[in-house]
Amino acid sequence: MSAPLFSIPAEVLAAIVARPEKFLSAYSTLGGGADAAAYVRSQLGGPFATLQAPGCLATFAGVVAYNAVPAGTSALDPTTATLHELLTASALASQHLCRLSALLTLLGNPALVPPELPASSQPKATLHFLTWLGTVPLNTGALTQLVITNVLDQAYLLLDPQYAYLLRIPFVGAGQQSNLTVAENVATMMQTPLSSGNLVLLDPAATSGVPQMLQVVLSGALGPEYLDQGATSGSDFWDENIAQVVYNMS
Amino acid sequence: MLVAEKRVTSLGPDRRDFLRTALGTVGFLTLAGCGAGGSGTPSPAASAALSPPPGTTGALIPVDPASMAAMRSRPETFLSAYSGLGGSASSAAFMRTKLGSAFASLTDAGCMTAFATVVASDSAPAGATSLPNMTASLRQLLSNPALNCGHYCKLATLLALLGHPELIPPDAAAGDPPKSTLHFMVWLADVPMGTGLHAQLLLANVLDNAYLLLDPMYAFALRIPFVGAGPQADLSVIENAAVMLQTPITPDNLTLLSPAPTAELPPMVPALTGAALGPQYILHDALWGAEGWDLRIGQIFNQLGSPAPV
Repeated sequence: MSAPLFSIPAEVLAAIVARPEKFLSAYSTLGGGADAAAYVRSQLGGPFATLQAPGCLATFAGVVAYNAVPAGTSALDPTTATLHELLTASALASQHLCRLSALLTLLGNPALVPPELPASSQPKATLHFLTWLGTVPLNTGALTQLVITNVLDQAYLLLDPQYAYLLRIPFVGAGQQSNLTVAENVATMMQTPLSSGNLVLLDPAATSGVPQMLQVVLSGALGPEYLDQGATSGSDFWDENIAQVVYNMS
Repeated sequence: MLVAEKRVTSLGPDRRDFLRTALGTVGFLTLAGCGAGGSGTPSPAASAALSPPPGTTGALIPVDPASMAAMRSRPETFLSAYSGLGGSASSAAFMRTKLGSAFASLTDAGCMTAFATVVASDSAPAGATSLPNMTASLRQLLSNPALNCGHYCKLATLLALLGHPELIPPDAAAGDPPKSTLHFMVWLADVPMGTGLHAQLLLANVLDNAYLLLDPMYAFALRIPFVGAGPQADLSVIENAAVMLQTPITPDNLTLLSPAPTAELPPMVPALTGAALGPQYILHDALWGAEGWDLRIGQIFNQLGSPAPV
């Protein structure tokens, strides 16, 4: 099996747990400290050649989250857990891992907080939770992933910090529909099969036990009918929740 | 020259959190002078000097109302407001030009914190408020109708950390490379500035051979040149800066971000530049002194994601 794309030394992880802002210095030293974003792009390969710096930072945040805490059940409330609580947990579910990735990302790029700007404004990169119902045919049960907008040309970036992969979701048809949310647009575009070049495994070991997941993700079998639209669990809820992170800094 | 100085250590986190929560709830964490004795009431001189918002009259770096409104509704737009400074020139270059030649070596982190000081200064007039400054959130600070010195400093700090999270205290550990850090300089009530108990911001390692002192309530920036052999390793940043304030500072090291606040508080500028200050006026306290603020600010990222404070 291939090695992880990014290795994070134990002492670096320990430093991040002790002082979360060390995440940023760890990121800045990637690739020898010359240009962390260029290093991330080079590791991810051709389809991600246009990935902008906020997407590169979010990718590394997902890698740190994946490496920091094993997947499992947790009694932590994923909607209110702090960065310290998440980094020191013994196990985290997908919602927690997405929250941990999001908080680390926002440390370095707070402008990624949702919501998106009005259509009349200059588009900006934003980070969203993609919440799948338990019936989603990924064989995972309910699952939460992250989506980042406006960091790839004509595509969304999907990041799964539990299963350690990235997916480039190219726009189909006329692209994003303004009457749909980001999550709905993403799910709609996932109804179209994707070539395997759009998928990058950050750590192949994370999906080795669920090979069908990757096939389904690429197959066009997903769609908006599998989205959790719950008022206290869906993507809209998480948009609002994450938007509060900067407001509530204290 | 980057310097590593003594780090602040004090009470265990559990005890600190308990005391802050308990005392903050009953309003004891406001600072004196700009709220002496926990009353949250500014001194008469401060009140006279500081209405309307201190940065709005004759401001060196005006913040347009639309930008301020945007920051109140989306605090992260502080970063776009900063990046928009100076047109085609860099924001930092714009800030350095505005601040003057004494600040020519100011780093981007220092420039952004100076801009955060301007924004905080413009955000609200000084006055009595029941908002506990230590636990106040960015939203609360940006929307409160009046602020005291602790609130102003915390607001400027939170905004600066949006763009330069590395500024968070404590200083780098011994043996690690020195880093830029932000600290609260808390002065005792008898400090000869005419303020009563007062808080300011102090930044280390953002200027060549100098500290940067920022006062968002009185709207100024002061470069504190190193004297003698420079910072002493057995003193904290705050203590070193206070020691260096015992040496007169030439006027070109002081830039008024807005002239009105200090003009109406005559003792302040002579005290700052005339060597009237010193470490004897520092409020050392593990809860609400310089050390307490360092510890509190140092927890901001650990607590990221916590619900809004009540």
